[in-house]
Amino acid sequence: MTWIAALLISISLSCFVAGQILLKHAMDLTERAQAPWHSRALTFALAIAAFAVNFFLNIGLLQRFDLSYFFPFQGLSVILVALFGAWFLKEKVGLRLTIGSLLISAGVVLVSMT
Amino acid sequence: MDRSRRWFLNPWLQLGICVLLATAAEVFLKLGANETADPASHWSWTGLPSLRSSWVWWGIIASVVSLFNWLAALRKLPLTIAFPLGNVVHILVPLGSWIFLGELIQPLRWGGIGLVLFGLAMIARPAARLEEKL
Repeated sequence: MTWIAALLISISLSCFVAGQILLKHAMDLTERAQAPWHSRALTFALAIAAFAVNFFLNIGLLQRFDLSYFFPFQGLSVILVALFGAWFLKEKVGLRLTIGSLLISAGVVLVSMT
Repeated sequence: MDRSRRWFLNPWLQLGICVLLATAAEVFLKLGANETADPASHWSWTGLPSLRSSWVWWGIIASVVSLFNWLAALRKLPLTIAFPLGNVVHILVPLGSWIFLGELIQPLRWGGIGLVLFGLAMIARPAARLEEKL
């Protein structure tokens, strides 16, 4: 893998994780009645933008790599969402959740590789 | 809010509907792609000719509805629990491909499905604790 491919895969994965975190944050803001509508709309729009960047980078990467080579990297998203969800959204991530996320990640990688 | 509406908006039910619709969407899109496959066409690589198939439209509808179910689930569930549980789709899609499309599942893939199942079982307890709080 070239450094540019590694960089693009990292950006694509980061955008996917950022999109999920922002989407959850937008939903949390919706639950809070006092949150101004423009901050909710902006967070939601940023989430959609992050997913759009992820979508187009994925298409570009799929034009250069086999799906079976590229898709296992998606398995990392489970761990990254748990990690950044705990960090940015202040969600509790216990030992069971961490081990469960690691097992699911490994399983997704295996399912995608075959 | 009446009881049936509250029951329908239960975040676990919404998450369940979301993964079932996401699985159905993948199967529908594959059926549509197979139905309209024409490698000789210059437009085939864009995927646009597949829009002729009603299966593809059902796939698009299922994807859009599953996104709304995902948003409804995220309103109540922590992302760190909902997202790993949503990965059950990585079990359901190969199973759906096996049952409805007659595709083979290789032993390594069964191993991956087993690992995902084991991981989901690990998350079941934190999820059950959360259910008590909701």
